[in-house]
Amino acid sequence: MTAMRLWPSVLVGLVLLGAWEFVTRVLHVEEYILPAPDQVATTLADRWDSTLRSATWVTGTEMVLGFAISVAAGLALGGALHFSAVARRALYPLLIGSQTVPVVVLAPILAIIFGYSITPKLILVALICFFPVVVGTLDGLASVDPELVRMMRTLHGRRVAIFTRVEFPAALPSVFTGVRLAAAYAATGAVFGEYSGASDGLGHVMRQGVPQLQSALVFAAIVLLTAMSVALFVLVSCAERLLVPWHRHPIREGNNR
Amino acid sequence: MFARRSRLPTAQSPAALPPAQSPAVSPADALRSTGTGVELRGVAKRFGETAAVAGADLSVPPNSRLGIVGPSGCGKSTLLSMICGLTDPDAGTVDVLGAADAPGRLARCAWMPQRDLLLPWRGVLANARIPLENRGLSRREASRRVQPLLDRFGLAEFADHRPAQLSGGMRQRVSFLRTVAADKPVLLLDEPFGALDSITRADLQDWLRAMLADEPRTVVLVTHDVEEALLLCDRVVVMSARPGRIVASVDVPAYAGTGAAARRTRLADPDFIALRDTVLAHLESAR
Repeated sequence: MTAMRLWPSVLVGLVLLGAWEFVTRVLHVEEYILPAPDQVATTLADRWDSTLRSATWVTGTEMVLGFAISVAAGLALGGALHFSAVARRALYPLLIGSQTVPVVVLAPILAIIFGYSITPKLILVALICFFPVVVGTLDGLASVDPELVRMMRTLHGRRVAIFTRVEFPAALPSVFTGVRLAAAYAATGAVFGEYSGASDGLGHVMRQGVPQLQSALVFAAIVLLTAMSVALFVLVSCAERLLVPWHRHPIREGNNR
Repeated sequence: MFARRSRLPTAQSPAALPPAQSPAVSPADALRSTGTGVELRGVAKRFGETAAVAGADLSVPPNSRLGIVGPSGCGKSTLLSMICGLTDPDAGTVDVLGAADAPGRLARCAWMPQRDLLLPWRGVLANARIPLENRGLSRREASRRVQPLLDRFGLAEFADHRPAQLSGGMRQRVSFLRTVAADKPVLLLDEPFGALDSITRADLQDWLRAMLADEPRTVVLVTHDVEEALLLCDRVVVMSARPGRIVASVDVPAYAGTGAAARRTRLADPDFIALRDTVLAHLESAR
């Protein structure tokens, strides 16, 4: 993304920050109710070494690992469901069922089972993130032009060759739609996990900060969490551009024509 | 087909392929040695309640070219998929160079539909070499063998272009090149030039005629364009409206020369015009 394309969103962000700063200063809002942006920035710098660096590292690890697990599991499951109609009938309802379980109630149960370790966080992140990947993969594979498959069969294509050379590449744009959603959900999963029991992490920092009315610290954690989410999202978008260069992105370029 | 299976499988044995110096286009001799060409007897196909093809009999001698014309929706394409082995008939038999089973027919037939069906993520060269990759050759070896074809099809300088960067006529040529690279003795063309403008179409017809004159193959061409069928084929049959059956067959005398001038002379030939009128009359009564 070029600077030219980014500047409108940067401008909006700056205006919002300015308005926020202005309102808190003019109305003399207490820091514990709504900290001004400069107070958040100061806290971020002051508490970086003591608290925030290790918390960011812990949460970042949970997000990236959980995300990686969900992408791998989602691709594998999507592929398996595509190949076997029986598996599709057997597992698809369960898959949807898995998404109807509220994460909020699942998180404490996982914390009871697995304790304060990283495992329950990874499970939560993976559980939230893998669904869009599965659906994207399955949809992408199902909507491959059947004529392309027929064509491959007449060109010496066996099942595996058809999958690797036609079906999977053709499904990639749809797979990436799912993966981008997963990237956006990863932070939510990690924080839910940490809220239900953790000894470190940004979710842990927030849970500790709220009752102590350390609002600026909570906001600093939110800033870091958002930054990591955006970084993950940008990473996925870069991978998409690299792997799916033939696909014109409708949201990014659609209205410039 | 078993002869071919043993000769051409999978990645582990690229050495089992025909020697490297043999051009990629020479159809495997094991597949064309049989005396019969394409034979259809009493072939019928239904889709649910609709009878698509009812009792079609056809015989295409080896290395001859048959044109099938008929009103749209008469089951021409269904007929081709059955010859190809992509579908099986409900009744009757289809025999392609001695193979009556679907996998055997699939091994002998190349199929080219109206849409070019190029893979948008592959360049021209990479699209054209797909059949060779599918047969287990490495990308480099496949590229090396397809390269001469690219030159001959006038696509050499576009080797790395993606399909989206090409004109419709060029895409269709790439698609045809890929079909040829599959190295099959039987070519099934399903309105191959139907989506093109008339000038590009005429060019590609001349070009196809020249190619088939150099390297004869057994060809079945489905088209709704009577002139195209008469220009390219040595026999033209007319199919009736659904359920499709063969209602007329016209032999087409060969004509000399290639290129646009020869085509124009041919089109102005009174015998050709009479032939065209005959086929058109059959078509009208077949509706």
